[in-house]
Amino acid sequence: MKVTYLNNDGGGFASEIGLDEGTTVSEFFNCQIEGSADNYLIRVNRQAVDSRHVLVDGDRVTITPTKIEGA
Amino acid sequence: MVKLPAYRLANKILENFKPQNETRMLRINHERISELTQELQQLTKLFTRAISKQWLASAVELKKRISYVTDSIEGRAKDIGPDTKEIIAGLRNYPTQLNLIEDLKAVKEEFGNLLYDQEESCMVVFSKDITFDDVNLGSFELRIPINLIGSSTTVVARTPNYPVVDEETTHPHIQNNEMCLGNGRNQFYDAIQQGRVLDAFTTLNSILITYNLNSAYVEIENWNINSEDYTECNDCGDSTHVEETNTCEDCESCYCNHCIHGCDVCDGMKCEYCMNNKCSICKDKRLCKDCTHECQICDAIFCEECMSNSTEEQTCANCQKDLDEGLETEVRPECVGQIMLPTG
Repeated sequence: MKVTYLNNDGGGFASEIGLDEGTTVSEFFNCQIEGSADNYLIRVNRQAVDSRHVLVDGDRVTITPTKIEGA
Repeated sequence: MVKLPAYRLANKILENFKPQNETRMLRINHERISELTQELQQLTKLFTRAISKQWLASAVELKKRISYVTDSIEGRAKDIGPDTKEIIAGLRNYPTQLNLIEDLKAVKEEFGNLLYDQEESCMVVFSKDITFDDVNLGSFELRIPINLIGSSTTVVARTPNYPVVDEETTHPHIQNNEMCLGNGRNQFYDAIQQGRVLDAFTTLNSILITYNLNSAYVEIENWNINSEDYTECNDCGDSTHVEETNTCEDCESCYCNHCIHGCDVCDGMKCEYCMNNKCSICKDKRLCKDCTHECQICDAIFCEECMSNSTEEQTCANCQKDLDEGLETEVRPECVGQIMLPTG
């Protein structure tokens, strides 16, 4: 299956990523980001989800840092 | 400010989104090329007829006109070429109406509100109250213009709580209603340029709720200082709490801890101006005026240790040595911090 992934942590452009059926948000996060998921807000199709959420084909996933240091 | 249905707000954004203007120019060029091509076809027919009828004068004029139209088509085609790639690249990130509508609905759900300021053509959401270390800064308006120009975005305090030291700062990272985006800059501008309104608003909010001690316009610990409890250092000008100031024992002015010094001889606390003496021989000693001795012969400055102990006169050891040897004293270079050059 494929999901659209938008990495808001500096990147910003969408990319399609192939995943195995049944991949959870937590598993997806660990493949994409180095760091604790506690520091990020993960949305699937614009809805905040928890780490156990199972992704399905066509989902749009965004990962956004919850705290960003201004200057 | 008013509430608008998501589809109406999305339409307003699409009308003003910059790539729309670029595609309009692309369309205009194509339309003009189409008109010129039709004219070229007519001219070609007339030219062919003129040649067949041996209307040579007409043929010459028609040929000139054909050449002009051909050049125009070629110029228009060249104008389109280099711009097209950029326009197509931009169109890939062009938000669709559906995407915008879904984003705007998600913004409203995330923040609990989404308004449209008709006067300033801005989308507005209200943040939650922001508090850092018991300093309540209140709620803020995150205002993004519908033309999605990031540099026109503002963040406005709804009930400003200014620090005593700066009435233009409403948040450690907001001054004059402009947020300093810091690490969020690329993320915010990418979202804005791609029409991802939800990501743009959440980025602003993530910066709003994060206090970066190392890069604040005003640090939170200085937010609620009582101006009467602070005074300005007479040297560097920094605000210093009155209990932490030091008074120079000579000039009696107030200084911060960085601008007060101890005399290396008497330990008296003196400011930089009143301490501006160093022994000409043992240069590492800083001397206050009271601990400074001036040689009456060479006028150089010395500490007590470097003054001669064999006379009541105020002479340095070097000059005293010359006196003892019966030599005509002269100013020794080392007494005034210089090196004697070899003679001959």
